[in-house]
Amino acid sequence: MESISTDRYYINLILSGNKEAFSSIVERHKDNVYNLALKICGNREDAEEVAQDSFVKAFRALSSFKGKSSFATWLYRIVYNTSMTFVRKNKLDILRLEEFPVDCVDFIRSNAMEEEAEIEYMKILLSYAMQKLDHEDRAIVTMHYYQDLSYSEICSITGLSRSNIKVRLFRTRKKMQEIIEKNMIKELKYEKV
Amino acid sequence: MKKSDVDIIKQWIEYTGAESAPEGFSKKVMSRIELEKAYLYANPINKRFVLGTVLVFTTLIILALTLPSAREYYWINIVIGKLSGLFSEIPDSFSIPGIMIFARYIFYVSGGIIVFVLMDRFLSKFLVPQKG
Repeated sequence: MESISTDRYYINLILSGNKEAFSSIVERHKDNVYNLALKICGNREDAEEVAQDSFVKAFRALSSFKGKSSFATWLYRIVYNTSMTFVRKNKLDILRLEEFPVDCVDFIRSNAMEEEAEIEYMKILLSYAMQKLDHEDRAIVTMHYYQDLSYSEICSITGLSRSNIKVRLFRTRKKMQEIIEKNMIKELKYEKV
Repeated sequence: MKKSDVDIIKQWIEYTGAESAPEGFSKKVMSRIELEKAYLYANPINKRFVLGTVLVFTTLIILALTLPSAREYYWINIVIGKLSGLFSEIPDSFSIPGIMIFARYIFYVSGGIIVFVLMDRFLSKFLVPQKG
């Protein structure tokens, strides 16, 4: 609740002419915006460009924000649409690699399962599993797991029905789990996490 | 807990965390925002404006179609009649040929100008960015 009223406070400041107040909005939401764009686009350069474009679009449309949903939901809808348009326009494809990069397995083994190396390995494996999904599913996974959004918020952002999102999440989770299990080295077990 | 109950994706995501936006991200966004001026303070064309425009044009069309032709220019003719009365009192030495036609045109033209001025103020209220 505090977050929503704080957003509203900054929005009112901006709309009354204080353009600098937008930097507070950027600071508050930049990580989530960047992560959503990153998961959909699949690479950091494009994600940064899309995240910046999304903030500029949000700024331009700020006077049309009526507060029917939270500001974050409204902003994520802009990020989602901008990202999807970007990947379609630039024909960014989903990952076609059949095998998980061997380098990563070598890396983790050579580092004797040190915690940092382990986390890095898990990140790469997660990212690999994510990139095997289509862009829309990546967005849903990110909003559900990373940003902890409710089903109704995800519906509002993507325009998909609640049942569709549930089915997609179920299938996606299964698919990612299969990819992870298939590529996970023996030393790393579920119990570790 | 059975293995099937464990949401491995959730666990992994919680364990590995999310990425932060790159260094200097906010600065880059704000430098782009600096270039944005017109958008923020321009009121978007809203439903009220569209509805008002439709109402005005619909009313004019309905009036044009339904007013009986015998009453055409009824109130305009009254005004012009009064003006004629004024001009008829002017001595012949001051009369100008075709002054009545001229007076009629002035009436239409000034009416048109007033309508355009009102339309201009109405549109600018909705479309022109407001300062500060």
